[in-house]
Amino acid sequence: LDPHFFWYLTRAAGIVTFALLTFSTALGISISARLGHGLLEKPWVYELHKFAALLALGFLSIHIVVLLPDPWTSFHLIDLFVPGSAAYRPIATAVGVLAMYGALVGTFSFYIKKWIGYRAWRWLHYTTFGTFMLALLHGTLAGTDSSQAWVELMYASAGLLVLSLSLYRFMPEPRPRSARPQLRRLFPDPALAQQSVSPPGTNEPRHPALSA
Amino acid sequence: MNTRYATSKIMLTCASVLAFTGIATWVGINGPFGSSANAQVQSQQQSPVTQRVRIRDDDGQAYTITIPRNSPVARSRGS
Repeated sequence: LDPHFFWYLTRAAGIVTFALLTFSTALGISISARLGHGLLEKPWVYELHKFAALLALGFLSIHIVVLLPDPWTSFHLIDLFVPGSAAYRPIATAVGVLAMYGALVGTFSFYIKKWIGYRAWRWLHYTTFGTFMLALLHGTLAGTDSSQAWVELMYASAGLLVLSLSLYRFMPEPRPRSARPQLRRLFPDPALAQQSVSPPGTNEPRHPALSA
Repeated sequence: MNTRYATSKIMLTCASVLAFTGIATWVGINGPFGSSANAQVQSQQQSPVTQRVRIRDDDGQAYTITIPRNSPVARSRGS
């Protein structure tokens, strides 16, 4: 067995985790920004967004666990969970530990939505933006392969993709001037107008894919 | 609809596993610290019992290692 075997595994797992995190984040923002003229609003796309986040957690586990038997970095169990306790590039690994907690919160927030309610879930789910930034910072600072051209290109394009999608998502939505009078004409009662866009008794959009 | 759910998930899983094995193989052969990676000795300091060597790997990272002078590593390099 190559003495660096576990080191190769953790590096590969880290890169795949980042790619999956980028895919899930970009897909989530695209769904909530209603990109793709309805294509992304399909339930299976929303399921894929959730599944990509879960898969990212799977590769994140490999990224973390194989550090323990690696003889070169000498990570201890505590180093994997307490930010700043690792001797190997302490700041960069601390950022990575925080990103791991962020990824856990972001992913499992899907499964507690029915208990905490839509509004709390939405705020909790916004932590994924911070998680992505931390993961990008961790990869750039701690990654052994960060100096490779293709890895630099991956980080740059992932950062630009998420940034541009976020800007689009949070840009004030231009609405046609005639929309409001039309809505008022169709639904003279404001409560009735609200019911037309939300399930009765809630402020939640009809499709969960649109609620991020 | 179930087929589409399953197909998209299987495709994403396969792509991730392929990428993982491909990248692990690549870094093992070509990447920094890979089997064909190089390091250059920058400086050496010797004491009666140890030898301190400063090396720079091909990813630009510099390390200082201390080797006991009577260790097999030191002997194999003729120190």
